[in-house]
Amino acid sequence: MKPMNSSIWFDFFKLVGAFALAWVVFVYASDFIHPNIGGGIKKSADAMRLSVEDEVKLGEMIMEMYLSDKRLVQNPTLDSALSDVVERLNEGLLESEYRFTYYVVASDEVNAMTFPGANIVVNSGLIEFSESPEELAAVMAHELGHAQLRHVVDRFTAQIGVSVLLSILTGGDASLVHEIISMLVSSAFSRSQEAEADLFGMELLEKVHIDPKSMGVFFERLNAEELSYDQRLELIMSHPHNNARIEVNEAYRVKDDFSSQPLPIDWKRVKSSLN
Amino acid sequence: MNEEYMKDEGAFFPLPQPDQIPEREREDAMGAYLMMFAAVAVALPLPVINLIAAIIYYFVNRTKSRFIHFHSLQSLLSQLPTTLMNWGLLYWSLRIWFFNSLEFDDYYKGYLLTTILANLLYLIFSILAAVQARKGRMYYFIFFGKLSYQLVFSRSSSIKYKGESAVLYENKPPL
Repeated sequence: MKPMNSSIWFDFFKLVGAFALAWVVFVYASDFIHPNIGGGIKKSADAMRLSVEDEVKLGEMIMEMYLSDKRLVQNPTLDSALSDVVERLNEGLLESEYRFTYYVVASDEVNAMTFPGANIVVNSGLIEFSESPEELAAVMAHELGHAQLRHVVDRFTAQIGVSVLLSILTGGDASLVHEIISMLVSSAFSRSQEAEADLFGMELLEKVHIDPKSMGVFFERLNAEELSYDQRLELIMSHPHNNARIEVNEAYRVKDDFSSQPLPIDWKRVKSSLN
Repeated sequence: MNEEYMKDEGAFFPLPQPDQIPEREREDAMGAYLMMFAAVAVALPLPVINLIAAIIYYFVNRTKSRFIHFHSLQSLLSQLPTTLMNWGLLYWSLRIWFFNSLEFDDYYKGYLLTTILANLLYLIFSILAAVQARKGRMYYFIFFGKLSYQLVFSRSSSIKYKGESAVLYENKPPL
């Protein structure tokens, strides 16, 4: 009888290799086999999340602190124009638990950010960059997607437990609020979250009779500007694949009975009111 | 241990043949595989009970005969990697669904499918082995079969079996 030691190890590596290979193959094939495998179970975990009510309360605390060292841009022309945009978007959000609030902050960065409780901060640079109120509406609709799909909450509930967040609401620990803000500002959404928010945005725009194509137009102009890479530039940073997103936007088909109703806003006047 | 001595054809005990194995031994050998399913069914949410059951079964039965020892050892060893994978899956799933600290991503999906595959293979081959053991035959899994054979049938194994006259291999050939 021959010694078996070497053939045992050979078998061992064959076995380990086969399973490692199976994993690799399954990782690449899993989307192909069933894109939503297990998706139903994931939904049940939603109960573990922060409730919208608590999120809105937390959002108020966060906004108070975040805006404390920012300069808000406010003037009658801008305010009435933006409230028109917001009013139109809110029409499509009647089923949503969120009612969104916006703030315009003086900053040259072409950027918008979503904070908990559907608080959207738009930089004045973004308003200057957009060429029509529809483009601004498209960006806002995208940001609303992050709020509605709860990407914003997920970003920090993973690191800070729900129980800790609730303790902030009752006790009010300022350092924790500060930590949440820095988390929101520094971390980015995943590419799939961006795609989801894009889709949500386009559907919302269609619902409120704004041409979803305005989102693609905005992205194209962003690409053309070749804006410098900035960690906090959410719109660009998590979008190294802006081209792919433009393609998705182009492929998006509106319903046959869709009619676009332009926003009755004198955009040039709004832009000049910023200065 | 003298390696050259191990290469000698006397390094392994002769394999028992089906007509030499009593009914009782066959049933115990078959049980080594089948009792795992009962344990797995009980332990589904926490895949640790089946491991404990396998270890207990192994230590209770291993001295009954070399044939039973082989099959229960093979059953125990072959379920170790599957159990480890199940633990990994449980840990990963908890991180995703209860602590929200990991993404439900393609790596997880791939691992999920690989673990399901591993469990299926374990299930199928355990049944095949149980059937063969009931017939008094040896059945070798890849890797685990050879390993168990080496551990159980090697003459250097020091376990004393019930009803087997204890032979001490103190005298070894000079080369």
